[in-house]
Amino acid sequence: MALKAPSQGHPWLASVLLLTGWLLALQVMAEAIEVRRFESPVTEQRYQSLTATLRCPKCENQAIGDSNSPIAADMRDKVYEQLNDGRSDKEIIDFMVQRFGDYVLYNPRLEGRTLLLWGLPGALVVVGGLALWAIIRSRRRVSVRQLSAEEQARLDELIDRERRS
Amino acid sequence: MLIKMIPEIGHYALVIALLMAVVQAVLPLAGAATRRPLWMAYARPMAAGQLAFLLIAYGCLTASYLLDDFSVVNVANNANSLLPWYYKFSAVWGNHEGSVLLWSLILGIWTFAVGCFSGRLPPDMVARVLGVMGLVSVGFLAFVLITSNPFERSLPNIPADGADLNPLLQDVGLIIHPPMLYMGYVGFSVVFAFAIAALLGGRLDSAWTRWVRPWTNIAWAFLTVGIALGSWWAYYELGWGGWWFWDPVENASLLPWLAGTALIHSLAVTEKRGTFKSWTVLLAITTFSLSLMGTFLVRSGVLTSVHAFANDPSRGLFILVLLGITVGLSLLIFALRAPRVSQPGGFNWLSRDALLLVNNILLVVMTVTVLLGTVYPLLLDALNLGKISVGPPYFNALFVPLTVLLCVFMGLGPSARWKRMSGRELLSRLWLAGAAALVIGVLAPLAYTGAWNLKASIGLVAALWLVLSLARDLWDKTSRGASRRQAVKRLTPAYWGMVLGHLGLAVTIVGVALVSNYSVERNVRMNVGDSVDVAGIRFHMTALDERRGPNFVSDAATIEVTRQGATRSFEMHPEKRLYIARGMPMTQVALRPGLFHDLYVAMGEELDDGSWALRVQIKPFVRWLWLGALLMAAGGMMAVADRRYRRQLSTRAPERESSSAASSGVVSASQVTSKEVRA
Amino acid sequence: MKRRLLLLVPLVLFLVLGAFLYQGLSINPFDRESALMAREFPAFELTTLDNPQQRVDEGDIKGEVTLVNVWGSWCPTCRQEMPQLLDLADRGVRLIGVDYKETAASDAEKRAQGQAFLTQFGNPFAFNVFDPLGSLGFDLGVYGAPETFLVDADGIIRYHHTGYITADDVESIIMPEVEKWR
Repeated sequence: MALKAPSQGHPWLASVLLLTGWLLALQVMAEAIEVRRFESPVTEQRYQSLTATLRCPKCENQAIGDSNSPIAADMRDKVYEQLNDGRSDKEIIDFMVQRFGDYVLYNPRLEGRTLLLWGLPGALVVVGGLALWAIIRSRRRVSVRQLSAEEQARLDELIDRERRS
Repeated sequence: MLIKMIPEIGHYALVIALLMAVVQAVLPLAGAATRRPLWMAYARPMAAGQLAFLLIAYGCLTASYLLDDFSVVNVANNANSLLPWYYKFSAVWGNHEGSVLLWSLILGIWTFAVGCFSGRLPPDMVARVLGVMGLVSVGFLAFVLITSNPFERSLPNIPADGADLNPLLQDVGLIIHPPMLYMGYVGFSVVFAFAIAALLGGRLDSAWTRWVRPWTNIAWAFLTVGIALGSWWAYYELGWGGWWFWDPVENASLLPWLAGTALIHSLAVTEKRGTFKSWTVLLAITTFSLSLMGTFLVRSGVLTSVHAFANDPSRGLFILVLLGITVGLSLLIFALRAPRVSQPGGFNWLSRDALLLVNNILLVVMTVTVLLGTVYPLLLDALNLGKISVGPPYFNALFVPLTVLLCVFMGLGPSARWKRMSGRELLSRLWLAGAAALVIGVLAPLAYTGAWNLKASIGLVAALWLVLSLARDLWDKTSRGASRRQAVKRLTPAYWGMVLGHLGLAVTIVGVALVSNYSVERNVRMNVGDSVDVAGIRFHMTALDERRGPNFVSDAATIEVTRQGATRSFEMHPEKRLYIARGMPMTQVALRPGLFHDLYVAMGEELDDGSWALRVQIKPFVRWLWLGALLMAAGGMMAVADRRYRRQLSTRAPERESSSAASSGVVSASQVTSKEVRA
Repeated sequence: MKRRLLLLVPLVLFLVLGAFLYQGLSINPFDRESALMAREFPAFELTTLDNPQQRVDEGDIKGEVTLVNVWGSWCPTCRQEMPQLLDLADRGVRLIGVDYKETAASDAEKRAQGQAFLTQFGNPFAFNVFDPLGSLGFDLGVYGAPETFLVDADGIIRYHHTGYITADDVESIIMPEVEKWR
């Protein structure tokens, strides 16, 4: 959405545009406080975690539990209803994805297109470890070649002295 | 007459500042390349002049706000005659145009500071550093003037009153959060400029690292405080009691912080051992690049975020081009001029060198993870692979184990020696700390709530391990001399800075672990006379009033709170405000902060029978999150006070060192060490 | 030489990221394909707006290429969209409306709200499904109004339009899609 400063012409147009921008922002601070009864603390816990990990499809970037938009309220109602019907978390999540797509999942599923997303950090830790191993090995050889035992001893002594100072 | 011209004066001053930035960029860089002292000497006066005119421009915009000059579009859109003066003052940076101006002003301040505190640096170094900073400034001032002019007028249609500042931003936290954050973001431009200057001049020695380290620490400390303030603000102002949402805008500030943390540690290795120079320089470039990227992400609209500024693709394109030129060019310079020679200086698996490298690897992986998670939806979308979201569950799943892993090595770091040490020695020093951390960390949740809690225990063990290993190290370091008091005195500010920094992280981890696992939340329906018990604390609503503020009306509840078994009680006043100018409802949370837990009451909607929906929360140890961040920042600042940085400011670096360094481009580890010892 | 190439890696990575960010500038994050694309129109059992006794279900949608438009009298853009929908109806396209979550308290009032809207702004619809609780809207994954679904003769959703249909959209998107699935 282009919210250009109203340089010329229609200040009213700009204010309308800005207003719509604020309406989006408005969802931010008017948080949803609903009084619900749960059959058990476990169910309540599941409700909290489900509404925290499902994304409101209408908002800028909010979980349905944090949003005041009507669709988020509908989705919370559905989550609540289905929890009371004894559905599992997975069933409820699938139910939402069927209607609103993967977009509503803050926790992206592991599949072909998200392999890089889930795999890269771990792969980098491994690569980093290997690189460290290679560096330590190669440096050990370099330092052996470059410093004689006497130099090495002097260097150690200097370093040691410096650390103590 | 002059008063009416204030916006034009500001605009004009901005143009002059831009021209001075051009001179500051071009002449000193050219002078350094062609060895012309006169050209190089332009750097400092231009930096000073630029700052002067930036101050004028910024002052003019602030004046327009304070004088309610609604003919200025920016003022009309973001202020209102009813707005209290201090919010008018801070409204200047509560919008896109003004905040970029603040960005530029802060860059001016940093540049000027570098000019002031670089008296003893070689002139070509100063010229290059200020030149590079001038280039960055040119980019940003051009951005302000071309796409985001805050002085634009809406003549002749002057609105009768302004649209008011977004109520979310009418808050103390938001007065100081952006300036702090920008001090951090922009502060990294100094390190960046030093890195480019070193690459251009072929001078990357231990003197260079000693020049850079204080600047890095200060910028990092500001960024730390800025991020903590943002988190604190979200906690009490957004009304959800959340403190970190992994929102793209938050991630944009975390990225340079993580890279900057890695940089601080790699600078330590490079200074002490003369190794990994290219890596350090790359980190310096990366850190600032990520700051710039954060600016792009926040202002371009490529990512959806609750915090993003009003988005405009043309601005996005401008920043992207700016980002491309700055980062692309510096990485190109890096590829062409990074030190060719691999430095000698072997070390073992068990050595401080290796541990600091592990730290760097993990911090870089964390940076990549946050970046990847932030831009991944965009990548898939651009490749037509559909729309997905990446949110808190993803980041927590990866960030928490990486942090725990980092902590394991962090505990070993301070006790380890450079180059090599025996595993037995390390074990003998630290086994007690490790065992104690394990036992206490596992048992503490049991004592706290009477139940095991794996997640809380992991956090506590990690934090305790950091603290106890630090304590052990402190003990060992002070047990060698004649008396312990003397030994404590001999410890350097740099060491204390490290202690504070690590301690700060431990404190933050305790906060995260406990608030994430032991928060209690109840949504209740309450009317006057009702009361509810949450975790042994009684909340009793005694009154409901309507109030009037300067630019809002509100419904306010009075809640009497009594702890179990206590006779004393106190009152809390949550409010639901309606800001008149924007017709915007806002939740004003009632908070009772405490070192061990916060009580948090937020008002929701009025229900049909006249009662209100209230959210009551108990947030254990939530203050520790920000307390830890403050400790970290204090640590960063403290390390700057170290003698060796002052020494380099007061005594001229030996000529021989700079000439030999300039010719070879590198100084070997033994040279560095012996010089340091001699000095 | 090998090391020099290694030093180029950061630059290459940055350029790749930059290219994506550039593309990102022209992407609208709210422009999302419906999750129901190429799937059957969801099952439902409701009544029509005009007649509380007349039951309708998904079978009534099938048979011919149809535009299902989700609207509400509370939605200002639905008004702006109406001339385009009337135009489409004139061109012989079958339209079915879903009156989504009217705001009044009782069902009777809600029906009145919806009917008043159609009286005022025109009625291009073969019939209107009355969806007071938004249950059909929810099953369609609707998160705002107006939204429009193109359903083929077999009841499969073939195209989804978020936001209001402009006169340009009628020519450049809607009519070609209708022709394509006829």
